[in-house]
Amino acid sequence: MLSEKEILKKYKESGDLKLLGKLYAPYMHLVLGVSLKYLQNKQSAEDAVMQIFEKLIIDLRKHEVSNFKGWLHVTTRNYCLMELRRTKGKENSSIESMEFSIPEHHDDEVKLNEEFLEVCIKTLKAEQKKCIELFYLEEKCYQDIVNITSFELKKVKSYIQNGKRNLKICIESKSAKA
Amino acid sequence: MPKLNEHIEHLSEEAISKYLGNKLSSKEMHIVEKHLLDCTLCSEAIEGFESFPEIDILESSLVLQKKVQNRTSEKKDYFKLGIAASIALLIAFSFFFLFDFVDNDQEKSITNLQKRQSAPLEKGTQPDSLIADNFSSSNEEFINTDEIVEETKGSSAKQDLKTIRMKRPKTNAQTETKQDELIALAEDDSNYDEEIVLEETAFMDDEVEEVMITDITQDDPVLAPVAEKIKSQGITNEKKASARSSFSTQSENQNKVGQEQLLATPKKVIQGRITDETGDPIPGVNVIVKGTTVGTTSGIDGLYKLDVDSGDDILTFSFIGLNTQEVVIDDQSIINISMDADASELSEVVVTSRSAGRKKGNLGYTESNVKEKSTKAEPVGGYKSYKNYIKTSLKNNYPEEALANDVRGKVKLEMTINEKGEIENLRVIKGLGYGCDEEATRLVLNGPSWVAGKKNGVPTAMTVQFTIVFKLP
Repeated sequence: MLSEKEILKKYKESGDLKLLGKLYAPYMHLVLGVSLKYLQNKQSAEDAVMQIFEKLIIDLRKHEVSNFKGWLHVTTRNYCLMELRRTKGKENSSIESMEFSIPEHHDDEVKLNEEFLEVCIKTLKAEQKKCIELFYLEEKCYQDIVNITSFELKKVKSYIQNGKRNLKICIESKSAKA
Repeated sequence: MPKLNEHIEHLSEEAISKYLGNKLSSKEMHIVEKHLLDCTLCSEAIEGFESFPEIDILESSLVLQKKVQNRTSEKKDYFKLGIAASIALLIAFSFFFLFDFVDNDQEKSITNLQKRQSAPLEKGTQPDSLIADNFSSSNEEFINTDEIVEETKGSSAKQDLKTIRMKRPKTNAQTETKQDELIALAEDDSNYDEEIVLEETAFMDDEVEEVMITDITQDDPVLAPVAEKIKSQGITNEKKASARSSFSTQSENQNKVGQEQLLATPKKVIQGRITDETGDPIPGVNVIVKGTTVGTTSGIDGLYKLDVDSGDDILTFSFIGLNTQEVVIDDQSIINISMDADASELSEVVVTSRSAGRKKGNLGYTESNVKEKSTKAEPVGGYKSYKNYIKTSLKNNYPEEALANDVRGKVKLEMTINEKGEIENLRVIKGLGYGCDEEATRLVLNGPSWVAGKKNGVPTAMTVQFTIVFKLP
């Protein structure tokens, strides 16, 4: 099984659509989902999946792409925003601005220095601390956490996200000093 | 089932579907959620699916997979082009569409071009112009053209194909007739600005001109019904209110220039100098284009400058105390005016400025000019000698009655000294009685002459007040 990187490279050289199809296949439902989120229309979203594929055909031959997943996400989002702008015109003021940077969250996560984790968890606010512990240490799912803490689902997600961010900051600062 | 190792590449359709359907165990849910915290792509995808619970993710996925497979097994891009070409051909001979780009000012050019059009018609040759102006006189469009490009492809007698490519204008068509509804339909989507390619065939014998549209980019839900409608009604070259089009056969540049010339309203610059009877400049004169709010005032040197639309306009020059003048501009660009005093207006004005004690610096330039040029009416020889005259007269000739009654005091008089210096409207404002009032009046009327006051150097009628003192000799 070729890795994504290898497929990308091969496609760039050959332009073989079948290769591209293989690369795209696992992501298609995700592209569909994201398109649904922005375009709010089933037909449009389905069209988007195909249109984005057409885009891939061209762009992947032109550009050097290292992180296919991230790149695909950005492309999808931009496509949707353009579509929205095109169809709704200037009246739609809720359109987010286009993003061109590729988020690198996944990689960062792995590098958390466990040494300071325990220390830093203690510095968190009570709610955040609780949720973080339940989620990461006890590996509970959101629903379970909701049941245990009686926090709302949205709040749970929020505590976990903010807690995670604070942890990261804390750990990084401690690592820097060390 | 999602993989149980900690770092999933991404979530499968199955995983998402089950997650949203609450079919996963707690542990599995945790794994999914953990992944979601890190993976924005999957997060957003799930958000999308959450708002469309009716969608069967697996099924939609399969359908899409199939599409991609079809796509990838095709013979390159020729296929796509082939499809596009056949669609284009299909549509080519079944659509009619007319645009109207005419601006109000462009009517002339359009009627001109239309004449050209009808001429070759009669000869039975191919038309040069593509313009069919179907305006009725009351029908006025206010549409701004974006662009009209025309390419002429070959030329055969009856089958003259001209392709016009243009951008749909974003317009505000305000019209009432049926044809306008059609246009309005088309222009309903005000944001629609796709390119549309138009083709036109030559006239048939009965002067029916057909204009066709080829939409090679996308299927147009908005234009299609409109085009069909127009097609069924047909178009005549004469002013039938069924459809309307305006295309220029001239090159794009020519057309644009023509448009600009017609659209632009050349402003004419009028300037000049305003002076008084003696030739001195008058600042602060109002210069107005009659019937408008366009205007200016003359400067310190009496010069003014204005932009006017046409030679039919009239300039009005006005200034308080001077006779208002009106001048038709015609084809002049320099209009100098000499203004004279309006006596009737000024008689109500009481001149109150005094030369002594007024600070020059505080006043605008106009005032200081006035100060220099304005004088009060006064007796010949000045008030001082006039007073002496009064004094001497009274000494010699004090009113008897007053004398007898030991009356003394002041009599206040008011009169108008007109521009010739003549005394008018002499009256007693505050009198003493006992013959004093009459004596005062007599003294003034028989006394020295007066010199008319001046405003801006112009002798002007003025009202004068003064007091005669009656002192017992």
